[in-house]
Amino acid sequence: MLSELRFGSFLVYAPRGMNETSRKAQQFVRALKEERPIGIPRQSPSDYAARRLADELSASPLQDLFRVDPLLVPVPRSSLSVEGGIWPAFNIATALVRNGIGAGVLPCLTRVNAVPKSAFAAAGTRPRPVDHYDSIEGTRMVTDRPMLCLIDDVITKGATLLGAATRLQQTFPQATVVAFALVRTLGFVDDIESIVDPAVGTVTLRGDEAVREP
Amino acid sequence: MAGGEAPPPAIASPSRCKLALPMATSNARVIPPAALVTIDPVRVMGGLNEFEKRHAPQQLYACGDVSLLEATARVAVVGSRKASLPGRKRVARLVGALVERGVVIVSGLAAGIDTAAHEQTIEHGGRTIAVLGTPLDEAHPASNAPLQRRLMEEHLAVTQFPLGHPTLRSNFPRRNRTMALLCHASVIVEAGESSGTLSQGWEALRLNRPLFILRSVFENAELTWPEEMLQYGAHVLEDPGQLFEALPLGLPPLEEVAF
Repeated sequence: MLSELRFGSFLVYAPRGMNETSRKAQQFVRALKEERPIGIPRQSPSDYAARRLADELSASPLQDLFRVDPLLVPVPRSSLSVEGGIWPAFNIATALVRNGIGAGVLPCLTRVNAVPKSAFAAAGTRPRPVDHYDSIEGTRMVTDRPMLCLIDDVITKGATLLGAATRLQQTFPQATVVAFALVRTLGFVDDIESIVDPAVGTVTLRGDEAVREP
Repeated sequence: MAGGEAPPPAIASPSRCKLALPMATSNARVIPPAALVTIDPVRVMGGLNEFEKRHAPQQLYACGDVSLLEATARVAVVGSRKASLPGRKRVARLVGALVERGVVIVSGLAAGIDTAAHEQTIEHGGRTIAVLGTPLDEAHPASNAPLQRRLMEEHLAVTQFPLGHPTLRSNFPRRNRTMALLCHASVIVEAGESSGTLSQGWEALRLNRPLFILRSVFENAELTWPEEMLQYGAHVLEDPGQLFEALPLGLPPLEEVAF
């Protein structure tokens, strides 16, 4: 397993928050999972967030993550995929590229065995990085890009990203692998004051668990 | 904010239509509605995405209280036509808990679990929507004609099939897809290996909408579909509280979500 992964995120949400901003963020995450149109006029939540990120990127700590135009690799869903079904990470990746972030989308990782969803799993039963690694397969594709950026919708502890990154690094040994999750979960925060809160940090393997900072 | 489609208008009047005839007690198969409301499905969910548009019906025909299509939370409670007695009791408990939280119960007005879902909703004082596999002026099964009339008068019946459309076997899986589209979550109470209910489950999974399967379903070792659906993202329903977490209860409307 990789011992450390550099990651960035643009938005935050507090699953148990009760104030107006927290509620708005919770509804945004729901919309993102179902690609449910938001706002007035109605628009894709992935496109909306990607456009907001593109507008703010030059003054954002995330600029460094996308500076070399990485190929974007969507993280597979935790379950197997129904044919023609919604894949939130893929939607986000394509929305980012449409808004000038990333060189293209490389859907080279596939989930071959379902794992419990982190958000629903009780503490202690959440899948570990190695469980994600074991349940994901990588397909080698030709690319000359030096950097690959994993794309996911939500990061909780980072186990999914660390497992997927290890598989991706194994599939593309020459590439530098980083990660971006659109939304960062603030599990121990009662409420948030702003949904937009860009940050760059690390996911570290400690024992067999992932530890996210920030 | 640039791009995107114009916001869908609120569901326009008439928001309610009445039957031409008073609620009958006969089992007549044919039910002549006085006025039907035609609804653009886009208006129902506040805008469809590209995935939803692929199988969404062009029009919905409705009779009853159309405002139920704007309810904050709608849950489909579906299952086998040959419902077991324990299955019916589970429906009663589940529907009771959902109605208490103001959730609108959606089902297909088929025999068995669907009928129990509608009847228990009424019993608990809740609101319910029937998504029909027939045009509005037909009942299937015919024995449900009185219940269908009552739903049209006091609750809501919708269908994608216009008057005069033949009632074909293929209507029902199409209806199930529409029902999944209209609901924030779906619950399968019980279903056999070849039950038509399963098509709704797969559609909910395709749309990435929460799909729950009652724990009791897994006790039948002969069934393979429950485990298969779990692999594709379904959840085991142990407690109605899980459902409440999956519903947009207390959350702002989607048009207010942009930041």
